[in-house]
Amino acid sequence: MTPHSNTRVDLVALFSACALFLSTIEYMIPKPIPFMRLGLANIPLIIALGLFSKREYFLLLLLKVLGQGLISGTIFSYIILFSLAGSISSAIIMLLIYTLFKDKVSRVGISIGGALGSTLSQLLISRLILFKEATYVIAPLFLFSGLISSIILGLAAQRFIVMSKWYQTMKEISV
Amino acid sequence: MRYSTLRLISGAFLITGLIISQSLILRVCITIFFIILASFSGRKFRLLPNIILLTSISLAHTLSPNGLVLFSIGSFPITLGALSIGANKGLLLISFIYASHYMMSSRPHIPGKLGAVISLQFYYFDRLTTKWSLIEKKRPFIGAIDKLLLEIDENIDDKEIKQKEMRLVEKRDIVIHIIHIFIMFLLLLIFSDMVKGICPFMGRLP
Repeated sequence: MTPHSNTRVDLVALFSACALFLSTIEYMIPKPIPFMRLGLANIPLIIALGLFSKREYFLLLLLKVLGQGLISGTIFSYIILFSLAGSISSAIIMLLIYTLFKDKVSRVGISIGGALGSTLSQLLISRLILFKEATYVIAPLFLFSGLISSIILGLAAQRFIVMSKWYQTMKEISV
Repeated sequence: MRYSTLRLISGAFLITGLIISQSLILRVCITIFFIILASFSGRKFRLLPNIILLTSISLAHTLSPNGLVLFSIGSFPITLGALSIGANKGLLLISFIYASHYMMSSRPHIPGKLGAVISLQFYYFDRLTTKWSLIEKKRPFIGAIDKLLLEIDENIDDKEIKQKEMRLVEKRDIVIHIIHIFIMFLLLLIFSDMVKGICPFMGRLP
């Protein structure tokens, strides 16, 4: 790394920029159903486990949510609430699984746990403010799509960790 | 005040205008405006990648039919609503990329620790979007992303960034940035409901 980017704060900024970059890629993909998305911007969060302290990890999370809101133009709308609730609960669960089990659970497992937390919290908010009782009708669809997308994201993150030369350098620096 | 801070403040106003804009024609105008601003800040403009981006997003959105059917390919309807949503999203995305370059070209200093990280985040985002278009082999995707990140690390010119950061604001800079903001709000005003009420032609634009 260059002298410019060798601090941990720089690394958090770079990861959050990657989340922003993946958000732009995701933004190009049409959604079959409103609110349903793949969640590419979560890949940096899955990869970042073990690289950052808890504080840095939540800073990354905050930057990801704000960046996503800015890219999709939802930063001044109620949708940011869904994004924030989903991301926070997902991050807490992923961090918990990683802290408790370390490498005994693969990134796919961690990603599934995170997606479950994210979907459940978003359904709860949806139940409270948006769809009311109708939430129970859409819940199975959201849980199923969350499961599928989390497996895809987990596999992508796992593959990146194994293949990436850049990640290996980052890991050495963060240690 | 540093020049980069002025650029950031001006950019924040301009992005607010971008986010609240709804009309497709207005988005086209704002996108052109951002491209011009970013070009003056040193960002190279290439037409073809932007057209490909806009077309691919618009076409991808036709997969979710919405609104008036324009024509059909076999049994598949191509709808105006879907194309319009896609084009709107594409324009927002292109505008945002150029807007972030406009704001970050001189790497602003935002007060506080969080401010510093946000500043860096957008700086890296600008580097990522610039470099990504230069990477020829984008398959496999993970390999391309890895190459991109390695290149970002190698090519950061710290000296140039620091020199730009140091420059202080002159009266001329303030006037220029006020004009930028004025043009944005003029565009918003032209496409506002108030003007649509006075000039019915404006109301018929998409």
